Amino acid sequence: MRVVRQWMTKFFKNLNTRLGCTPLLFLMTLTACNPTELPSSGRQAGLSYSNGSMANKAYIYRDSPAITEGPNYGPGANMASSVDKYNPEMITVKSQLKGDCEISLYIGSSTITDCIQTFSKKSASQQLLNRKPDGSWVFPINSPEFYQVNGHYLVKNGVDTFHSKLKFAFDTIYTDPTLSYKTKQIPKYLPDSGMYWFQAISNDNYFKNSFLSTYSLCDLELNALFNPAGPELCFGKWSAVPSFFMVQDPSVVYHELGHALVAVMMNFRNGIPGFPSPIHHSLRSNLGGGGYDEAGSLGEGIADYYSFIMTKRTHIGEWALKRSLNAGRPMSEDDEIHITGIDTSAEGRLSYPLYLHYDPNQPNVPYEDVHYAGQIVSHYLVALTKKLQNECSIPTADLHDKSTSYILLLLADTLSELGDLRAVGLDTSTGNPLSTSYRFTNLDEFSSYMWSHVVNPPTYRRFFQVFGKNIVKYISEGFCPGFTQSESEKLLDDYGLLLFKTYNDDGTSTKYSNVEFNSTGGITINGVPSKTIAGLVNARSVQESNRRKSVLVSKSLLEWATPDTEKEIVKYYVIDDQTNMSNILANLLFKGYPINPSTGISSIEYNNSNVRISPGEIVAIIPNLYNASNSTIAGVHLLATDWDHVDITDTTGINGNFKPCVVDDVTTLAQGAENGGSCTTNMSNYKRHVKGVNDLFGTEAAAPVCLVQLEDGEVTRWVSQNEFRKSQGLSLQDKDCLGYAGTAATEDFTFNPHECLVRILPGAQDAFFSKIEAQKSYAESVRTGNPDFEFNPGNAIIFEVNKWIPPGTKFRCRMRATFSNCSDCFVNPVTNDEYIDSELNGANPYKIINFEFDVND
Amino acid sequence: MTNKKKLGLFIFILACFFGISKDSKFISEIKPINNQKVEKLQDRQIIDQKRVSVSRTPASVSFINTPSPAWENKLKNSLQEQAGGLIKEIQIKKERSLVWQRDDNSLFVESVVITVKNEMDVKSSFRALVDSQTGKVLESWDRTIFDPVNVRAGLRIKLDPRYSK
Repeated sequence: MRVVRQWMTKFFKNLNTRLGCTPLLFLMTLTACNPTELPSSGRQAGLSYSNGSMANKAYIYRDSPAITEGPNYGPGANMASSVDKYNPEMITVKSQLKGDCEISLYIGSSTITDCIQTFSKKSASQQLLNRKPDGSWVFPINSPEFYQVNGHYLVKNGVDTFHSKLKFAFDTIYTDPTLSYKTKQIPKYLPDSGMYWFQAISNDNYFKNSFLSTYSLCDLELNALFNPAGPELCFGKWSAVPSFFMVQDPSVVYHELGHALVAVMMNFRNGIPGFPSPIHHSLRSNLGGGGYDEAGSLGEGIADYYSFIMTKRTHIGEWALKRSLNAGRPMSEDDEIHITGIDTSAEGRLSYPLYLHYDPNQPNVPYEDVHYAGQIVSHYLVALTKKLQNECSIPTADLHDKSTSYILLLLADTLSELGDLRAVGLDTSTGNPLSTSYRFTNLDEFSSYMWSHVVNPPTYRRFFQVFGKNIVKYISEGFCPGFTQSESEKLLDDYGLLLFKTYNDDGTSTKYSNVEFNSTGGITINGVPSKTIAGLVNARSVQESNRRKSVLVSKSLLEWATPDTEKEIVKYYVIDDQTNMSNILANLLFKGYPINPSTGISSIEYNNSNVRISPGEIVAIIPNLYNASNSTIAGVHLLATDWDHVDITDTTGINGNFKPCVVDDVTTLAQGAENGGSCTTNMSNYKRHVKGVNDLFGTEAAAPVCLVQLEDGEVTRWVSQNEFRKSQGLSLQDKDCLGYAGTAATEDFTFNPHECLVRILPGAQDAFFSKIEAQKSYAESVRTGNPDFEFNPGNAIIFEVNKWIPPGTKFRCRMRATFSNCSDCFVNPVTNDEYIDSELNGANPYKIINFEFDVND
Repeated sequence: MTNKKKLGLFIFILACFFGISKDSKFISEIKPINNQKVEKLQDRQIIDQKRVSVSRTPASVSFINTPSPAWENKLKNSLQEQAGGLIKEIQIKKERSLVWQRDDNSLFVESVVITVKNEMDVKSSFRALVDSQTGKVLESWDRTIFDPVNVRAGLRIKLDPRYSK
């Protein structure tokens, strides 16, 4: 009813405008027989607005001016010369600039109405563009309407291609007799859940929009974005050149759309059919969005590759990136932009981790950034596409389309598994949601977001292990036996991406290593961890002879840097000046990480810029880790999140609540740690160490990383912050603790008293370091060739420090490090199987990095 | 007074009674008379520990917070404190109110989209689940992905000169 009333109001409101425009409409009708908005020369004969042949169509540009007019054209642009005057394209049959998403699968068709909508600028009064009275979408070239129509065409074209390739993937894996019996991650119930688009958004009304909005002419300066919270795409401008717009470059439009499609694919499994409507997880997975990390780099590489799918060119941004700031990116080693030494031979590939910082436009000034690191991914995907074109008996006419469809199948299945927040990871043999309580990815549904995005996020190792598994499953042992497992491994290794020893395809549960999902679609429960049983099929191994460039390094060789004044090496950098910290915190918020500051207990106002950690400060720490090996260590992930490293001694919290477990030779029994007992087992669940409704703590929980040293008579012990705050004459109440948001009348039950004195801020609980060269510290590695180097905010772990801490108080924070080319971070030496997810809650997969500091004025 | 209002008043009194009787911890235990009534009273969708929406209200729900209209101001203040004057604009758009059965406890939460505008007039958005009482952000996701032409122009951390010779 409300919808009807709004429509009536809008109708009459618009009617006034329409009546006022009658004379104009009349004039337009008179001129409608001649498309004067295009140059008269070269138009296709027979096209006319009066005979209906231009109905719902417009003349569009298929390529940027850099392609149609040559690399020296511009940067001022007149798109008249880039428009295809011969072949007008269908824009939409709707009266407004929007379109449907339709996927036609072998089991039936499914449509989401008005799934894309296109606007000019984002504003409170934004309105969809109406079709012209002559029935066409032809607007004056270079006008805002022209760019809206073209932006819509490009996005719709990209979305239709995606759904066409998704149809290929879906129909192939569920009907090809060589594949139909295999486990799959693209769910069969995809059309029922609507997750082939942003549909979850509307069905449970949890999100606002079920359509992707495109803003062709955003107020962004030389920038473009994908905002999943819209969801929306935004294409900016260049103020210095008023006729220059990002939307003029289709490769950039397809790149941004690529980010949106990654978001769609990562959430394929996050909705299942339900009655009366599908059931959706309320959070959504994505790749990247914060500082430098490998998840973000994967996202950029895949988005670049989507541009290749659409344009068939192995370069992105010839106009929008290159013509403006000489920042175009290649996707193949035979691009002339590359430096000498990079070529398509096995030795010359753009390999990991050597080229992580490589900027082809400024090769002498390396830089840590997701777009540069993502080039390794895009180059690999393009090389794989060409391999499949050569070895998969694809008809010449279909080479690009078919081979890129194969790759999209692999990407969809891989991203679907990595982003599964329901944590089931698999379906029944008939393709229905698995009803068992066992879980096979991202730990469990209670903490899956944290697991899949913080604790065990997509890295180059994790992504390419799953991707490699899918190559073997679908390509080598599916529809292209010519591309063997060995061929696949050789190509991965050419890129330094053969970072795993097995494909981890034995279906082990995330929580119990004795539970496996078997090949017939059922669950096998063994009495003991399955890998200890002789005769059982183990995970498929990598053929070690294929590993030539992908060097693996032991975690024992990662350590703190030794300070050296001459070489300007320190163990860690403290950032405590107010300007830097204000910028860092504001940047965290801008990137989507609210920190819940502990107002009145810690604040930047206390920051004294003495490069030490002082009471009341908010400080960033950049650990300077050292690589003691003779090979580069890459993808270093330092975690300061809560983990299972304590023995809970009482659930009341009166006596401090826990003692640290012995997890290395640093915190010993003599220093108050415990061994054995509850310290010997890892939790299978992740549970925060906060009070429950019964006012008691749990008997098992993950604890914050920072312990504090308590002087107890003659003895000093490492204890929980909760114990310390109640002793030594401190008697700090909850309200005097960090992270407490209660008031005199209300308690904060999300408060964790074990971070009362020192708290690591949300969004800055982990740090990522692209690579550490052999026999160097991280700082030395990234400074190489770049004396003006400044650190990436993603390198920092940020602490709040309680203003009530007595000066001299010592802290020990037990952080955990892993890295992508680690030889002993991923496989359990007892079972010789990959560590299951619940083990990532403990110490074994990691190198413990003890960060010790005093708090002093 | 309609029956609906009487029922609402009765449940409110019950909530107050249980809240005060728990050692002033203000834990409000709402024992619904039937499922529909509580949902209607709170006008909130329930999401379970898995963060999946559930259509049926559990027979017994214990809440560990009490909704307060002040949550939005508290959240805004918290975000402004973090922004430190370097963010020009902060918008909080509530999408819906929920009950989140989290960590065995049920929390009243608000689902919001937060949009911030920096000094360069660039906007960035993300979603968050916020405690309906304290305004604390409990989860955030759906962050904007930027693709600037000049990737080197983003924020970098300058080291204190004392770290160099």
